[in-house]
Amino acid sequence: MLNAAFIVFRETLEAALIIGIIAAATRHLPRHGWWIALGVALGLAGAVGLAFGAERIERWGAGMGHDYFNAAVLAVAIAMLSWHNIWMASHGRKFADAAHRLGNSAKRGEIALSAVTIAIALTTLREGSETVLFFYGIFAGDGASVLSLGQGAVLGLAAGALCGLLLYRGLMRIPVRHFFTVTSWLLLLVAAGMAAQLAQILIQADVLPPLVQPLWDTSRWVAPDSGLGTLLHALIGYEAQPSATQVGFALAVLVGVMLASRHARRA
Amino acid sequence: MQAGQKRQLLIENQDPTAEEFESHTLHREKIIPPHSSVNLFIGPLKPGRYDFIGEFNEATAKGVVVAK
Repeated sequence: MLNAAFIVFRETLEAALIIGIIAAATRHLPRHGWWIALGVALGLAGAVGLAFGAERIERWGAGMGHDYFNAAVLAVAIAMLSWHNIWMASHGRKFADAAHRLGNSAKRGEIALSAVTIAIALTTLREGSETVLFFYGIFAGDGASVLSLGQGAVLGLAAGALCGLLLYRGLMRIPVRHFFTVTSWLLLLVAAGMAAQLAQILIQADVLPPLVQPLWDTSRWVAPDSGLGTLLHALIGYEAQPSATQVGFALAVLVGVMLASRHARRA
Repeated sequence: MQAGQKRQLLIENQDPTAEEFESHTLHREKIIPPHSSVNLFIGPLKPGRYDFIGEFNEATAKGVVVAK
């Protein structure tokens, strides 16, 4: 039962943490909770569809179908998060100061929220499809193991959701003057982590070379299997032994969004 | 397999349930649907033993890639 709990926990943790950060980062946008819930619902629906369509996707693309699909999903999620950050850089201050403004501002807020909904839907989709496949495997087993594994899975799901909630609550405590800086940086790190994962998928599918593998090795300081390593991996895509290509992708997103945000702020 | 070379693995899942092929040392992670097979590339590798597992059945699904 604990084994099932662990597996489901790790899958849900990543999505839950990202949702927690986004929920905090959009606190000032009207009805942000509704948009986030929509993202989660769409993601879950997609995850179920993806889990059942998994075989067909895999056969497409000569056995690499799943990798291409995941890569595309990640690319769009990165784009959505990056866009949100850049948008926040140019509009964020105005929103924070006048949280009740309606009309034109509300519409711009909705555009930002729709980007966020897409990012959440895609993240939930990716993590959710693996969880759904795992659940399906559970229910294919015999009665006794179904109960035990099912309990473990629910436990893992609750634990993951709890972590997301804790992160949200923790972020909400940050004083307002630092708040948006912190959440923007966190989202940027999340996007960079996704870029590293994207690079890994493309390496696995032989679309990109790893160049140097590994570029460094920090497994002595933070082991990938440890609690901290798992948390960092879920949050920012931490790799103890990243390849040069992965680091390159992550840096590209970091620097790219930072530059674009700076430019947007001045405009 | 040969160290220093890239190889394509064909992983076959003969069970009616899905599995996730995962290896920390090979830096690979991939879902394999029921009664299906997937491809992925590994290497170039330095000589050594590289463990992999089936994450959904970790206790019993284990293997090693040995690079010489």
